[in-house]
Amino acid sequence: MTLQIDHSGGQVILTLNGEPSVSGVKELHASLVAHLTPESKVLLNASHLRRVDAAVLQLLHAVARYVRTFDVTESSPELTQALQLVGLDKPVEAPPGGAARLPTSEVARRRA
Amino acid sequence: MAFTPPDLLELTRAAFRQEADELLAELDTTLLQLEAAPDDEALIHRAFRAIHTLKGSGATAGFLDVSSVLHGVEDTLGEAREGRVVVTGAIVDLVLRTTDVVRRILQGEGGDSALIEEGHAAVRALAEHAPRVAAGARPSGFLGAAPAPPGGPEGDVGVYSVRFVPARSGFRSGKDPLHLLRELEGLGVMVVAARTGDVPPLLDLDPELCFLSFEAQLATRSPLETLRSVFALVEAEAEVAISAVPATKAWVLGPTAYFDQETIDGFVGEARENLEELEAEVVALEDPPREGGRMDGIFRALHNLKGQAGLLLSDVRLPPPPDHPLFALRDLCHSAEGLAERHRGEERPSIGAEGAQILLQAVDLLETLLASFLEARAAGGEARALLDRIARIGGPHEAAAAAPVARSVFASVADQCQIVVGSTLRPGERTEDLTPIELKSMQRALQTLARAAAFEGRTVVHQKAEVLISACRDYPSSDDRSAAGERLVLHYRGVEDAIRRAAEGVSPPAVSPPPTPEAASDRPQARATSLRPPKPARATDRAPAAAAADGVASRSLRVDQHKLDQLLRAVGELLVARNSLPTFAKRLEGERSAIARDVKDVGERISRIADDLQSAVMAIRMMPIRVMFQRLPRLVRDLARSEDKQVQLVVFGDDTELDKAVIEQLSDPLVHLVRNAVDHGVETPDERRSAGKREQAVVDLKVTREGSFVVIEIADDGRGLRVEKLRDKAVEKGLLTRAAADALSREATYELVFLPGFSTAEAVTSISGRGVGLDVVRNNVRQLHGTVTVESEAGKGSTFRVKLPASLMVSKAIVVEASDDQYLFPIDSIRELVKLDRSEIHRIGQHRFAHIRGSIVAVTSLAGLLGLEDRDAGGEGRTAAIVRTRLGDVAVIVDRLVAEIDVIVKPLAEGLDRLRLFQGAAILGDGRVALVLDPSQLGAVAQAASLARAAR
Repeated sequence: MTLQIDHSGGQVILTLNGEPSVSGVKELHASLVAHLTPESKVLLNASHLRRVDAAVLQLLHAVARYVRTFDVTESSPELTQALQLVGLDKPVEAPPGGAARLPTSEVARRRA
Repeated sequence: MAFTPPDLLELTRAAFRQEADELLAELDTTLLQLEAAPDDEALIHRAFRAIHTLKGSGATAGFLDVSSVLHGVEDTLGEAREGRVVVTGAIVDLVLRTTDVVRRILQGEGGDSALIEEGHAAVRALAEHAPRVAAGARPSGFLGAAPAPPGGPEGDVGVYSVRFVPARSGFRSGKDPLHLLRELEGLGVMVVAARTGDVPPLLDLDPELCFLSFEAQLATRSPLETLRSVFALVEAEAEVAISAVPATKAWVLGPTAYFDQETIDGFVGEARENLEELEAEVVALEDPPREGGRMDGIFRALHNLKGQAGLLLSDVRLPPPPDHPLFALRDLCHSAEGLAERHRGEERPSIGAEGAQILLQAVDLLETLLASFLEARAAGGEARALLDRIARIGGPHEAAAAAPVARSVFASVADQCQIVVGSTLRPGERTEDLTPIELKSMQRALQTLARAAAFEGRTVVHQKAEVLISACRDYPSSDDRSAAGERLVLHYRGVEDAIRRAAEGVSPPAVSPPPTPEAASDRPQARATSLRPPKPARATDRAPAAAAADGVASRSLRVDQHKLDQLLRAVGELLVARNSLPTFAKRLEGERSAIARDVKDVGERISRIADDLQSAVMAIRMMPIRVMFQRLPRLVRDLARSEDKQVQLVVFGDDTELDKAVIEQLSDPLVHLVRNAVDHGVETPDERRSAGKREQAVVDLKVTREGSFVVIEIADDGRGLRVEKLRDKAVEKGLLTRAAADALSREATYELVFLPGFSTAEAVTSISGRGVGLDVVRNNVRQLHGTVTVESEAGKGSTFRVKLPASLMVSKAIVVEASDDQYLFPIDSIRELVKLDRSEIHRIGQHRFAHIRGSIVAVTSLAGLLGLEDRDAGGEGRTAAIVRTRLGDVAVIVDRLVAEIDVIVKPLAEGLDRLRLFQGAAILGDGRVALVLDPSQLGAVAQAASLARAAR
């Protein structure tokens, strides 16, 4: 599992690859907490995510609620299916002053 | 009363047998194609549809055994459709085995328990051996790939509510909730809502603890225990609650919970097209001068969409809950359609700004509802609000107009409906004692008609069918059954009239103004035809010729063959009667020449009419030979497999038409010849390789028309017939002396294979025969007044050529006279008529021969053959008919040639049928009965003569 965090034009671009799971979720959480603020505009590129478990989905959900905006720009089929399976593909509750949603239009487009 | 209940049931069963026969033949073809292209989704869908239709129709017709066997097959093909089962040759084999069982059940009475068990065994093997794809490897997206509820009969689909709260330590224990949910999803169609309210903010979150919980609803055929077993490993620490939920009170589930994937795909494609058209037309309402025309398009799009949604909702495997978006979509279309209807046409008032805005909102909302349908979301309150708004600005929705529509599905259903209902509600028949079964049958047929009519936008038919359905429902409780029966007949006339008008493309004037040229464009028709309910989708699967014929399908009608035969016999009698007119005219000549002329004139007119009538009736009986060929690919495939051969069957000209009776009687001989080609003609791949040939042999089946005859050639590129071996075998079997065998020409040697007891297998190959010789084939073909010949070349293959009259009912014959009696020769048996000079006839012992056009032809006299006195007047020469026989031509001397006439050959009465020289009898123009000679028996004489000649 690799997490790459880039800052570009006021946005935080997260690139999450491999097979993140509960075994690495603590480190993942720590990295995200270190780089994100409630004002962050987050773009997630998960095009090379091969596998994901519920612990990682829970973490992504928490991130989406925490930051100002959260968009999945690229999703792998595995992530899309997992989000849809548990019903986390619906918009999440918006944080104060923000409009976070999961998934993004990309996920919605794929499904359509 | 037209039909008693057993009659009605038998009618239904007979109709199903016929339908099943066609479907099974198509299914065989599809399965063989699928075997060659196992990834072809269209073929999988086609096979599934055929099985589904057979299963449903079988159950309706009372063939519950058939239905139960096919149910299992349908399940497996359903899984294949959803990408969960891989189609292999073994799977195709097993499906074919079950269809064979179904055939055998239908051929008998269906009560053979061993047979049914055989079918179930094949189904079990199918379920057991079907290679399944791992859950994560499903090829398409979540909703698209969601499986149909598996296992058990369709009626057992249940909806369960599942509440799953994993333990806080759920992640750490290694039992990923996602994994359990996936397993649960594999049991059916599921919707999950993750509860995230307990998940702490990111900064406070311990990511290794589980704060998620899940609520799901699952449509499945699995029992409750199976659902519980999914959570067996976590039940000690997690909270799991599972309970049944009434389907109508359940959540809105994914569309595959209610409909099959193909139907969904079809609906969504059509709905999107309609919505696009609708949006374009509504937006263009800003162009007031053309508003009336726009409104036609808007009305049509809404009407189509409503019909499509209604059709979808009419055939569900699980009742959707009331808040299912499809209900809202249908209702909104209906309401908006009413609004558009009130503003169609130039004379109607403009829809106005508010109306246009409502329509625009309706378009947006319809798009949202379509998305909700796909995403398993309930309809919100917006639809209700908009419906209320439409109701406020308008009145009740008037009857909708019939949009221009496609015809195939509707036509087929209408035909069937008219057979069922029309048989019961005949004008003038008693209708006061209709039975519950008759009423039920009529209602079922009418409901199907109403659905098809709604689907194709034939509103008037739909409405009239609904009225009749309602009248059927009211009938049992009516105090005055006679009046109620009359009402049924009256309403049925209305249905018939509406069907007829729809078929003719006539818009009923009482309902709506005729569509404008723009409205009559073919666009909606094209869309309507592409969305087909499962059963009539067969039309698109047929060969191009059949598909092309679809355009006139609405004018077709299934007719009992017996009735058609009666009609044709009547036409035949007319033709024969016509023959008598010249005789009468001749008798009138001289004394009453004026009357004679008149009789001749009338005779010629009747003759023309009779010819036209004959042609028309004959055309009705003609059907493409494809019907018979459909079983051959399967036959070739099975036979080739059993003998480890590779054989490709190539068919040419299968759209050639033959009389139905010919096709039915030709089936067995043709199957034998094709089997013979694969069995004896074609070599094994090793042998072919050694001979420098491709491993895969080719058997060509070619049909051509030659005048009033049809020629069928069965050609293989196998080992061919070896002349020397055939001759040796004839000597070995004592059929010929060595000298006689050696004297046989090449062609005559090939003819040996048609002799009874002459086994080509032993002579040519070493593969044993199947107990039925080619002599049987030849006899069968002869009974059809046809011939079968063979040409061959050693090492290169053989070609069997079957030549048949395209129709059997009326044939031409030559009337000849022998010893003052008249006899008939079938004209197709006569090569030519000649005048033989006495000097041309030679005698050797008891046998006579003549040199005719350089060939030696056996000569015999008809009188001699019949044991009559030969009245040789001793003149210059003798008249002879050169008759084709299997061993060459025979010149049959007759006293006089009388005429060429049309005849209907009737079989000889019992007791007379032993007269071997005659194949039947026919009535002559003057009313006398004449015997029809059987050329094949004349051939036996020629054969004896030929052999005698050779022996000398």
